[in-house]
Amino acid sequence: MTTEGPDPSTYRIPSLARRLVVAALIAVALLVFIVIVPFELLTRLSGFGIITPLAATTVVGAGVVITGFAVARHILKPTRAYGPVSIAGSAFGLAYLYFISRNASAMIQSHDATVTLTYGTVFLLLVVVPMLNLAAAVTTTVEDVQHPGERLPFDYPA
Amino acid sequence: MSRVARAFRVTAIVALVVIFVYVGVAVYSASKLRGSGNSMGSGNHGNNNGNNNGNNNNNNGNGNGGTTTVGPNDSLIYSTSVNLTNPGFLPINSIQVTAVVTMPGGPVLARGGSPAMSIAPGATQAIPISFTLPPLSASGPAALLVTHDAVLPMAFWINVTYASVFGVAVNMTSNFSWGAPFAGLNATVGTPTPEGNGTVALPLTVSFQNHAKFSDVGTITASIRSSSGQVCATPSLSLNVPNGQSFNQSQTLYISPSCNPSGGSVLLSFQGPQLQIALPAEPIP
Repeated sequence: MTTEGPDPSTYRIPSLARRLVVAALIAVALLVFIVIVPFELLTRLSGFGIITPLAATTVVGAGVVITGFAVARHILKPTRAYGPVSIAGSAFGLAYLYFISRNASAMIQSHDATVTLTYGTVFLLLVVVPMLNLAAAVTTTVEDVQHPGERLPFDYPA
Repeated sequence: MSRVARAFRVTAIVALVVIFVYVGVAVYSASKLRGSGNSMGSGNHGNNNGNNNGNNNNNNGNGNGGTTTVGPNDSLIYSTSVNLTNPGFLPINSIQVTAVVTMPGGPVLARGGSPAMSIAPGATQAIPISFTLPPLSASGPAALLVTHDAVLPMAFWINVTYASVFGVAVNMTSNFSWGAPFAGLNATVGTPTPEGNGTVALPLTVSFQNHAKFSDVGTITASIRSSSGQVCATPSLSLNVPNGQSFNQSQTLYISPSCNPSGGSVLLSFQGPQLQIALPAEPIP
C-alpha cells in the first residue's frame, strides 16, 4: 500500500484566486436564489396579508449559511477538508429543507373565509437532493482518508 | 470512488431538475382549475324513493338552491352539488367537504359534507354535498324551524390534495336559509255557538304558509282540549300545499256542551306519507 498521491502531472488544481472568483460567482447565484428571492417573496406575501409561519430572517440566515458552505466547499475542494465540509453543508441543507417542509404553508384570511395552502411535500421531495449530496460527501471523505489525493486527477484533470 | 461520488452528485442534480419540472407543471395545472356553483337543480325533484306523492322537492323555494328529501326517521336531507373541472395534467387526489349547520348562537343542528373524491386530469366531477337535519318536532333545538324561517349559520371546510404535493384547506362561514314548512302556523278556535240539537258549534281555522323546499301533503289532526285536558274534538284536515303556497282552511266542529274549550289548547300534528311532525300547541283564549 502506498501513501503517495497521484502523479502531479495528471491533474491541475486551479489557483486559490481562481477558486475564490468562482466561489464568489456561486455565492452570488445562491444568494439570489435562496436568500433574496425567498425574502422578497415572503415580504410581498406578507404585504398581501398572506400569513406564513416561515420568518424572513430564518430564510435569510439559513440561506447565508448554505451559501457559506457552498463557497467553502468550492475553495476547499482540492483539500481533505472538502469531504467533511460537504457533509456539514449537506446535513445542514437536509435539516433546513425538513424544517421548511414542516412550516410550508400560506394562509389568507378574510372576514368569512380562511384559505390555507400547504406545500411541505415539495420540500420533502427536495430532501433527496441533500441526501444524495451527503452520500457523495461521505464517499469523498472515505476516499480522502483511504487514498489521499487520488480524486484530484478526476476532479481536476490536467 | 470518485466516480461513485460524482454519480451521487449527478443524480442529485437530475432529481432537483425533475422535482422542479414536476412542481412547475403542477402549478401550471392548478392555475387551470375551474369550479362552478351548485348544479343539482331539479335532479331528484319530487322523487323520494318512488313512493312519495307528498314530500316533493322543489328548488324554487327560498334558500340555497339544493334539494330537500325526507330521510330515515323523519330526518331531512339537504343535498346540493358542485361541479369541478380539472383541465390540467395532474389529478386532484382528494377533495372533501365538511359542513356544520348551527342554530343561531346555539347548538349544532346538522352535520354533513361530501365523500372524499378524486378528479382525474381532464375530467369534470360533481361533488355531492349533503347534510342531515334532525326530525322536525315541536320540541328540541329545532322546534322553531317548524313554524319559523331562519337564517342558520353554516361553517364548511374543504380539503383538497392536488398533484400529491399541494394541499389546500378552505374554511368558510356562510348562511343557510331555512324555509319553515308550516310558517306562521295559526290554529284559531272561534266562539262556541249552542246548536238546537244539543251540541255546540265550534269553528276552527288553520292557516300557515309552506316556505319549505318540499310540499306539505298529508293530514293535520287537531286535538281540541279543554283547560282540564278533556278532548272535545279531533278533526282532521287534508292538505296538499306546494312550497311557497298558503293554506287557510276553516271547519265547523260540533262538540258536547260539557266540554268547554275556553282556556284549553289545540294540539296539532301533521302526518304525511313519510313525514310526521308534532306541531306547536295553540292556546285557546
